[in-house]
Amino acid sequence: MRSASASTHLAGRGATISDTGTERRRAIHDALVRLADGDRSAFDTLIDELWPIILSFSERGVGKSADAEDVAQEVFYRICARIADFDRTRDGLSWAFGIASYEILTHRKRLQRRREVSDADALENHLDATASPEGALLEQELSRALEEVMGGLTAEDREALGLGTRGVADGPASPKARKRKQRILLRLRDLFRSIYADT
Amino acid sequence: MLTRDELRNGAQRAYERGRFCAAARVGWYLVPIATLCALQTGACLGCAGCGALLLGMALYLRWRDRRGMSAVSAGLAAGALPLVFGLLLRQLVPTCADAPLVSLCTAVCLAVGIPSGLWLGVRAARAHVGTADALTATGVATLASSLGCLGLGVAGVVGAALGLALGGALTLVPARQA
Repeated sequence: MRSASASTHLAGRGATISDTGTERRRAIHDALVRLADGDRSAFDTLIDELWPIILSFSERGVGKSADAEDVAQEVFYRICARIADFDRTRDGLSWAFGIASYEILTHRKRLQRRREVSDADALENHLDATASPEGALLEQELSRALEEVMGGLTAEDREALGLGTRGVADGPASPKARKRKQRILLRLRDLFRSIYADT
Repeated sequence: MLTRDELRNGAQRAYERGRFCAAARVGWYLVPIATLCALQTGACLGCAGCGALLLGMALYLRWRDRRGMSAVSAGLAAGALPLVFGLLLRQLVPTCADAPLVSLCTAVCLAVGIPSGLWLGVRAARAHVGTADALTATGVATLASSLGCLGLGVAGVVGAALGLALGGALTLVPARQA
């Protein structure tokens, strides 16, 4: 068993996607064709030639993190699993890149989803903090005060603020409507101050 | 950190799994055909045995290598005609099921098997397929045709198998000698 890690050992050959020479491309294609034909001895060639390229490609797609090696490994296994469907008339390296691109994209989407979920969790935790008895009491008082202040507005004013039955009107508001909205908001602030200035 | 051996072993496992999945796709054709055979002929045990044998053989050959894959494809294509014909004959002439070995039913099955064998032989000769692969394809074709001819009894199965072998030999032997 070779003790050196596969990544460092093989990536040390300085493989990049752009400098993949014709000879190397041909070697990868031949190894893929041999494996598709059922020749299991082509694995070593595939590891020597294709793995560094896949690793380098993943590092570019995911960034030089521990994830890059995991993604590269996933891509390499996926390529091996789908070799039986490999069409020998196509270029092997392009075919492998197709799979790699898809996997990297999937990994990025997964990361993005995970980030969205963790953001949602953080928001939920924040909202949960107000679920304490004090928080609930404050929230109750605030909504009561808001209801009281809103009672001082006319039905038209509430409609203009988008709090009526019709909701917020679609499309950009006219300058006149914006001015009116501003006036109502000022009146709302004055009302709130007049009632709760002491508290 | 991933070692080379770990990578190789993992890749090989994925490869074998992938090959098996690709090979197993043949089940989408063979299982319904074996079920149809059992429903049409009533010989459930025979159809199940023949179907299992054919499925096992097809799975192994398709998993092994590409040559095996093409042998199975050719064999199944060649066996399709006697298979369909056997099922139809069983419906049209039910007396064939009890016919003796030397009978008109056997001759008809033989006659249907010959063109399939000829096609298989011509295909093998054109593609320069080795004798072993040609024989394998003939074996698959014989098993596939047996699924259809089981309802016709031993006479049907033997007739179709002889036809396939004869047709294949008629084209392959001269091609090999040339």
